[in-house]
Amino acid sequence: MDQSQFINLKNVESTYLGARQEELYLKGINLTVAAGETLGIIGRADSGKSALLRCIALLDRPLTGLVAIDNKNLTFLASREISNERRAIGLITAKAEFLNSKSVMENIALPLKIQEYPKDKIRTSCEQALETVGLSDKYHSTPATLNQLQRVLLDIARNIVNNIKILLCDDIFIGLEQKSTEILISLLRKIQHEYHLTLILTTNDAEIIKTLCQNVIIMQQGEIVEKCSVLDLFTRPISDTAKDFIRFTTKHELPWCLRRRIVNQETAEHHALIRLNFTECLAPEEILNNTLEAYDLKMNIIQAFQEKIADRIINVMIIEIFGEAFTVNNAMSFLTNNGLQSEIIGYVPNIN
Amino acid sequence: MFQILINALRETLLMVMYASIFSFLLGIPLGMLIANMAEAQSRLAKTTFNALKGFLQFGGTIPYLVIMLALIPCTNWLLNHKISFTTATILPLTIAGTMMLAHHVAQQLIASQNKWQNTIKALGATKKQALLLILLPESLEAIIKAAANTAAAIVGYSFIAGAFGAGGLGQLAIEKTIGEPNFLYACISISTLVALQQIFKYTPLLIIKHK
Repeated sequence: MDQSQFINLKNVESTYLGARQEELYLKGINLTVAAGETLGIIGRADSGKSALLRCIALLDRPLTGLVAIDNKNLTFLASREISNERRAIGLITAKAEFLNSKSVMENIALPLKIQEYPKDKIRTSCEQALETVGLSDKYHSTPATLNQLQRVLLDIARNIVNNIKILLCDDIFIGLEQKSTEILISLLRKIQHEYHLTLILTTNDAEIIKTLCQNVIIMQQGEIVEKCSVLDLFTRPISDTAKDFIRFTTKHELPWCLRRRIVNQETAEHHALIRLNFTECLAPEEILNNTLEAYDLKMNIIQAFQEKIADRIINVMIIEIFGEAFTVNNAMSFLTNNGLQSEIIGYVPNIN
Repeated sequence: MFQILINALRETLLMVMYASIFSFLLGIPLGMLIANMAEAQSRLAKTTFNALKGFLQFGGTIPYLVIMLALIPCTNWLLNHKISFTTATILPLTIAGTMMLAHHVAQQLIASQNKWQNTIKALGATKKQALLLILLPESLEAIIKAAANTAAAIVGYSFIAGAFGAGGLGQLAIEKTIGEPNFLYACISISTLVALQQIFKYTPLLIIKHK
């Protein structure tokens, strides 16, 4: 069985219930996800990220196209059969609903009660799921007493108890503090390994993408504009949305005093701020010096650091470069040809 | 003096208790039925849903007095069958209570259904499972509150019915304020009725709160 196409979407088009057919929120989606893969979905609000997850979760039926999971075409299944297939897919959102009048344990037991499992089996499965997510001490608590992280963990427990094969996470990191995000990332890694899950998550947080995902798709206005590995996203972005994402992320890593001066349009009073990435470049300093000399440019190093993306070390350098726009562009092409990926983040005013 | 009050209280309680019980027995399943039809696909179910919903919404705006007057033929028929006026009044009280409760139950269940729509779909629950395992537990508190409000409203309606000679505290209050004025009787009967209404309204809420 072909596990490289565990999730397969072909030419999927979908619209909101009740919306006119021309108001498509998913347009010609073609996507394959391998079993066990971790895929990140990046895109602005209304780009169709959540809609895509809902389509994979079979909550919305596509207008056209095909949705196949584990080589089984689910597009034309009857409602009852779809219900059975849906049980293999977990969807977690930041605003999950829980029965507030029932205990945490009873909430987790819900999927098993629906499948009419025996009581002792329900009990052991729930205890195991609670232990996995680290909520054993909340067994008798009600969901209303849980904080945001614990509610997400509870949602995860309610899904893993159902023996899911695919876990879809829709912006679950929103509003979580750094420590909680770290806990959630390590838990997702742990359950992915233990339960052999295929993980798909929507987020616009670069750190989460870097730490958790192997591949990324970039969405814009209901279309997939780029699919690449996380490493390629951060070192060789192709689409404008991907470049915008890198620019935005890099800007936020810069010191505030510099960040507030960055503009998007170049003028005579501004010079370019460039992000350089290199992984296997042997002599970056030499290449950089040669380029500056050859093109008669001057530069100032703002930041230089290393970051780990998809288990590989990437060297990043943020420089401001002084010179004519045309010359700067030529120099950037030269750098790229020599293994130093360059990307203009923005423009900063000249200091007189 | 106390005997008159106790008799009036007994009659009021008889009307209210029976009318409330029948309202619960009819109103809650009717509300559940309407909520169940809310997402139906067939044209017949959609038409029935809209008709029932419209009827309950319209019924809710009709004053109890009008319902009572409209049901006079039925009440007369019951009276002709040697049923007392107090007992016969249970019918309009039950109809008013049922309409009120069914409307609230349907509204609450439809709201829960909309909230839980995705989760129910994701869990693959049947309609019956969704209702019993998710929607009813989720809406239980609101349904109890609606039932308590209905019972309290029925107490108020019984007062109006009493004014028309159906007996109970309502009739006593009217007689002792207009017929043969007696300030003490009037005060006691009115305050008992108000107290009764509050007891019906707030006791279930207190029980829920301390559960």
